[in-house]
Amino acid sequence: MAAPFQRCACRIVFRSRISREQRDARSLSSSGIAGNKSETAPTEEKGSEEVPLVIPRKKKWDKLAVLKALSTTVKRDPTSVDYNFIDDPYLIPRTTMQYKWFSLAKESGQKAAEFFINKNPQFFQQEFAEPSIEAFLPKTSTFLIEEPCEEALQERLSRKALKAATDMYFQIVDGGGTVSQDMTADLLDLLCFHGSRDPGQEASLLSPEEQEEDAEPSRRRSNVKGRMRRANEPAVRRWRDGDDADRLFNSLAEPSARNYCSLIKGLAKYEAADQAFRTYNDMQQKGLRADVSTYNALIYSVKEVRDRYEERWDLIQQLLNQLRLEQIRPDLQTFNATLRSLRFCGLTGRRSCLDVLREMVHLGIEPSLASYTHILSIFNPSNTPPSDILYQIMDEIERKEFTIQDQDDNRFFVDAMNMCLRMNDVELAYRLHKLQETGENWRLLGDSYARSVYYGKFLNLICQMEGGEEMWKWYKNLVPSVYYPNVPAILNILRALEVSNMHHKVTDLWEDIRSLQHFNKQELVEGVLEFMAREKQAPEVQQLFMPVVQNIKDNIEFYYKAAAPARRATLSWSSTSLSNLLILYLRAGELKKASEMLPLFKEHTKTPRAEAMEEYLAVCVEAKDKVKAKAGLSVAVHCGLPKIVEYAENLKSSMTEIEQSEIDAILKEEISVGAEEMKTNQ
Amino acid sequence: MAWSNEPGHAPGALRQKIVQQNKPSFFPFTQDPGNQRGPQRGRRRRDDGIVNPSRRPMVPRTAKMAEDQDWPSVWPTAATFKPSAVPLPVRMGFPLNRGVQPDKFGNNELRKIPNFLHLTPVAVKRHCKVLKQFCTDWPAALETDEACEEHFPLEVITTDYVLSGPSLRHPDARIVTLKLKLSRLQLDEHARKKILKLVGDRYDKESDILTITADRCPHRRQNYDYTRYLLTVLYLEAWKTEPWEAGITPEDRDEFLWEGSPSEHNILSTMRAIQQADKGGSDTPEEDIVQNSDVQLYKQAVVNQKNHGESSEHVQGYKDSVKRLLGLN
Repeated sequence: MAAPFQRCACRIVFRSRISREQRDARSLSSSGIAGNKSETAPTEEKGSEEVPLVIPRKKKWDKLAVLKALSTTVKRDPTSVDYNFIDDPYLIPRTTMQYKWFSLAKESGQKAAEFFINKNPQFFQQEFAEPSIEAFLPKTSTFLIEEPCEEALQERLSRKALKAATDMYFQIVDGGGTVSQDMTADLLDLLCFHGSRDPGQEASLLSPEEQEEDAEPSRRRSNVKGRMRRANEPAVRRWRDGDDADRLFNSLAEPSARNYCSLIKGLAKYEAADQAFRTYNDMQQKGLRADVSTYNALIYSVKEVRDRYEERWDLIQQLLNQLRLEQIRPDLQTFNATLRSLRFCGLTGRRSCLDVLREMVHLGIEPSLASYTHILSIFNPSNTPPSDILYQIMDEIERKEFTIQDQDDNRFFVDAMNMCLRMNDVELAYRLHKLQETGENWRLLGDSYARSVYYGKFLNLICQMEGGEEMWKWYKNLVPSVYYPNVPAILNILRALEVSNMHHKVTDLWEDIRSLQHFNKQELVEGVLEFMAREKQAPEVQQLFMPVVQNIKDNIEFYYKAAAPARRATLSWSSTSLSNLLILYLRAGELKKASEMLPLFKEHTKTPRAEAMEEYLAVCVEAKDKVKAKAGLSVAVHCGLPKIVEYAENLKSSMTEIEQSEIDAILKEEISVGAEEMKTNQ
Repeated sequence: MAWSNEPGHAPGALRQKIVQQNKPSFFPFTQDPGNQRGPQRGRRRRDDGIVNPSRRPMVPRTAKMAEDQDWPSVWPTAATFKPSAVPLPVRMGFPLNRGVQPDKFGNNELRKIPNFLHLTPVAVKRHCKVLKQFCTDWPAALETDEACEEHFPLEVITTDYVLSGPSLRHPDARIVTLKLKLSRLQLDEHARKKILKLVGDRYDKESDILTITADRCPHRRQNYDYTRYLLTVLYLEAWKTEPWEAGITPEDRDEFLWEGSPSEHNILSTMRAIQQADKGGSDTPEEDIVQNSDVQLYKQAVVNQKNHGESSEHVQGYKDSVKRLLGLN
């Protein structure tokens, strides 16, 4: 009992004083707490002090207000990662893949624990939490009330055990009992909402027989462009005739308007739009009136039932007119659904979009981010040059704070950033990013995939449009805290660095490349070497390159020596990378290391670039190093560089230490060896 | 910074150096791994072979921190020490083998102690600034402590415990203490004496404060109500005079009372005898004798000696007063 309390982190002592004048202190005044003054005048004071005592009213605020206020003092930390990872060099994800693995690992651990708790509830009866946390307790599969009655149904409904509830319902009805209309409607609501299956059910955690039962092919949802479902999108079950919801609805003798509405919404949600419209027609014929959310669902699924643009728009207009006839006030979702359907109406949609917006303003409904997303995509089909509608939208929504109101709200930032990139307008991108940072707007950025797309496009735009310093500032801020750049993105960054002549940043960039696990990407490694070797830098910058160069060399050698062929193929020497390494060593004044590179050309049968070889020989001449010069010439001759004779002449004239005959010997020997090889090959 | 592919970890670069210095020993097998530095003990290291570059741990994020970074954002709340997030060369623990104290990486000692990295002056200032909106102005009339005591004579002390455990409750949070200056209650001599009898050691004579603590009920509110009830009952009980209180004798009293005591009687008769000897008549009324300053002095000395115990000052005072009374000095 005492153990948990030893971990007391803080002890707060309150010393409150109670006034003798306080109203609720009646018992005390009767018991005669007496000051020096009479008790009748609460604000009266001693003669010397004239200040009246006024006790301010207690302020009231909601439970989270203090925490929210405290959290406003904290900004984003550009060196840390998402809060749900453990802040340790070994456990911070370094790549997009690791991000996914680590989050999924945590999630699956929780799932596993939950599964074991539910499997063995007898071991988890002890309640440590006070007040007790319902979600942590084992979920029992038995119910308190077993005999068929309304209370039993109520119990199953409140625990969202839909299968059990449906069974109970039919048990009651078959037994000749009646279920009240409200409860039937509640049950139908739940069934339609969850698509006739128990919520929170994970297929993998079911027992084998349950899985078999559940193994109907869950159709993968394809979106507008016909692409496959992304891994992070949930697989959507389709509506099936004969499901519990369908069965329940058909068993009703006289379905009410609410029952019809639930069914239509369920049908629309589970991709049975035709059936939804048929049900709606039935409902109209019976003279029942649908509610606004039902109309929203119908408008949302218009594109499923009509193919031609005009027909779609006509149907939407019919539905909207019906709303007006029935004097139902449309809400934000109505307009968002309309706009979303207009996305799939081509030019018709473009023409009608502004009318819809005007109506929205007329009714005084504030558009949410989803509305702007739809407008953006209506005005910017992917195959036309971008329009400037985003400027108007940004003028409208700048500095506003949004909360999520629609399921498409979190697509705005990604779409808008995409537009910025298409228009190549970095100022607009900054404005958009500022909006994203305002208040709680970052919550609407979407999932990790959408986030990485957003930041990737943002950084790409900055690389293209901004100077190196500015770009580097943003890079430091975003990588790797919120964004893991891929190889093309890093090549973009390299290009930006090169343009603004910021070669000294390459050490930091290489450090990041290493931690992003991109150090073994051939394209990138060659890009980095090319970046460093293209122009001669100041000597101190050349020295700065050395650790990077050495590390690249070590890495390539590691992969060359690796046992597995697949791993050997990851990273290998190429002519350009070898030449660049040679040049880099020479420029850093490391002639010895440079000469050690020479045998590699022969070993890997690569040809050095002419400039690299010239530079090498020039350095050798300068250093008066006879042996190394000869080795260089020998490699040049071996690889058959076109200007060998010129090199030899140069050496002869500028290096007196070498005997001319030695040079001739090298030339002859190599040429004869080459000729022999040619012969054998033939 | 050098990145070679030799085995090792960037975080513990310093530690590695020390270990490697220990390495070239003539008797590698006699070297006791337990004799190394603290966190290093008993751990085996594979020093041979090239390490796969993709297996290297990330450089701790302290390396990327800017000098002017916003520290409260890095360490916003109370948390266990994380070496990769604290850009300070902290060392802690027992230095083994005449070495230095272990550094922060893999150091369990640093994890055990509570740190206050989230409560830097900047952070506290910011917190105060945003929390101001929840506070009301302090009443101008309550500037001094005396004014507070004057207006709010009752003091209630409760304690809240903040735990990092699954339970929010703490058994000691129910205890309520009520404090009150006894002089603020309307009491006459009898009632005061009686209330002192009733409260016993809950009264502190030095500061004149009565303390009532209640912990018998399970909830704070109940305990609070109970303290109020106790105070009310004590007050009302103190003012009652029971019939048996009339039969009180000097022996029952806690303290010596001059009025009606044998000492008073004796001094009166002595004074009368002296006056009679001086003037031959004794018509001075009793009050005058008592009001006489010498007699008052004598009375004080007797009361002091009886009530506060015998001490050299009291005895000296008694001697002086007697001498004055008898005109001996």
